[in-house]
Amino acid sequence: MMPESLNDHPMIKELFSASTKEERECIIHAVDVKKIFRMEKQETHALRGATLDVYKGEYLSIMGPSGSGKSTLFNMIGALQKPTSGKVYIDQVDIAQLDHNELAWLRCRKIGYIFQTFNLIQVMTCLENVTLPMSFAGTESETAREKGLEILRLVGLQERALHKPAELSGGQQQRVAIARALANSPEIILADEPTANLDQKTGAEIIDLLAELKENYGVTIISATHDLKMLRSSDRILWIVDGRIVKSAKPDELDFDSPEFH
Amino acid sequence: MIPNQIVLPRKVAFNVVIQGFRIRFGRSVVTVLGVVLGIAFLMSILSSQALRKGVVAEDEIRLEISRMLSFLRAEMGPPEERTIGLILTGSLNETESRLILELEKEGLGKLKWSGSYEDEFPIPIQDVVLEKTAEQDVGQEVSAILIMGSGPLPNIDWINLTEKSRQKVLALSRKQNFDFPSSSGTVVDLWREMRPEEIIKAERDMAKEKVRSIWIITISLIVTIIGISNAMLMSVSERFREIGTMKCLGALSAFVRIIFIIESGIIGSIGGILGCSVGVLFSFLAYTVTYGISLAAISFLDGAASLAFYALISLFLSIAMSILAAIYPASVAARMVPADALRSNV
Repeated sequence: MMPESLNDHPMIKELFSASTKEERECIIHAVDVKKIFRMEKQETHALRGATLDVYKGEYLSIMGPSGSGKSTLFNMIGALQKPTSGKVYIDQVDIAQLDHNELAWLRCRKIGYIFQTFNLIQVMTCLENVTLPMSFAGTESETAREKGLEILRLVGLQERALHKPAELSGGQQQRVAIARALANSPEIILADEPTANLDQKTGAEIIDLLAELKENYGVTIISATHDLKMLRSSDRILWIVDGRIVKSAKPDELDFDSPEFH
Repeated sequence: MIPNQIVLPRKVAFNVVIQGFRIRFGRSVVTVLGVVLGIAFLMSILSSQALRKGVVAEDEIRLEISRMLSFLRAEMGPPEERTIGLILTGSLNETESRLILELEKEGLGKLKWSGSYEDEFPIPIQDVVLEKTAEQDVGQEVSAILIMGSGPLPNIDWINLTEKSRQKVLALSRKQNFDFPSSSGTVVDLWREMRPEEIIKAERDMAKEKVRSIWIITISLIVTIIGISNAMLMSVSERFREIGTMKCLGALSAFVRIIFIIESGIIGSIGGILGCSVGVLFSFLAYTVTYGISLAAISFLDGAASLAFYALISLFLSIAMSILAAIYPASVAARMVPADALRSNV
């Protein structure tokens, strides 16, 4: 069950206090991003010049059919890949200028990733999964353990701390994954279809949890999704088709009964 | 604004490796066995090198006896069922005693012996009929007359002695001033040392043998390295998703690399320790079979220091080889693009 005391949690308040100060500050700025994959003389234009701004504390959803370049855009703004041309600034830093160690640092401290298939390390306990990014960040193991337990409590899984992911339900695993994404108090959470492998009810719980994180701590959430409930609770929705961003809209401007959502 | 901070949580890496072993226990055992075989082979050859010192004297005696036997056989034919005359000039040394025992083993029928120094035959013989005779009768009906012992030659009419022999063969186990006309029979100098060309040939054979064993060791170690490398590559491809996830969570390439280096290093250490033990055990067994338990034990005590030295070398080599074998798979893992982990079907 979700904890009710999310707002009052002192640690979480502290974690995100820095990012709640300024409104509408641009945290990700992408200009004319192109990505070309070359495979045996054949060129695939995954992105044909995408420009977007993501604001601090925003809940942004990205929609697009498969093969539209959605994943590629996701990888660019998540510092997982460098663009072929164009610029991606994360917190005013051009990721093309970073070497692989600095990129790792950025991924470690600034961004929390949530995957469609959870991607928990199966051989580790939930707590170890949550403390893993902290140990990458150099946090002392005792501190990491305490913080890890706090975050697991936040997602309502403190009793499962010493269980292996395989012993948990899908929804619980995704909550552990969210806890892991929160480990280093990131400013951005990148969620790739986080509810795709979950049933309606547990999916809704995950969406509520993400919404609460955004609402209470101003963490920026970017998610790729087809989930209507998720689209409804987001602040802005982007459409990407054939490597270009074709439309940007707020959920209340949209008709969710139209065929493009089904 | 971003410090170039490199943090390698080695404890975490170690933990990941141990968990990996637990999950893939069966395959880890197979990989370790490959290392064990390679190192055991190396170690058994190295340890027989280390233990040789303890059996050098024994080897020389064996070589001498087999040489004496072949000389004797060449002149009188196989000793089986034959009668040999033996004149003891004094006490027997070990080579001589064992030569007689060897003749007994080869089925010698009867030994006519004489010797003023002994009443009983000086060595225990069961399967050969022993007959003590007067010195001048030693030659009757015998295929060869052996002259052995530490003393000087007795004053005998040698021509008369061989008069009634079947074959006129006189064999001396030690160098003596012996004057015997070649027309009256054959004198076999059992003591004769190898001719220079024979020594050169033996040395050349040994060098050839050495080159061959170095070659075999090298090949087996290369095979071991390839085996480890292959196992590590499999381990990497199995963990692609895990590695990608860790990279998304901020793991440095160096962290990913160190995971596989540690994994391989552990395989190398365990394989090295087991391989050394198996190799030493194997050569101890081989020595026990060849030289008997007491001589094997003595040569082990003698060679303990160099054995330990060789074991350390093998262990070091094993770990070094494993790490060498892991360099390529580890860099494959480290170069991996974290975005791959986001794809659900990896």
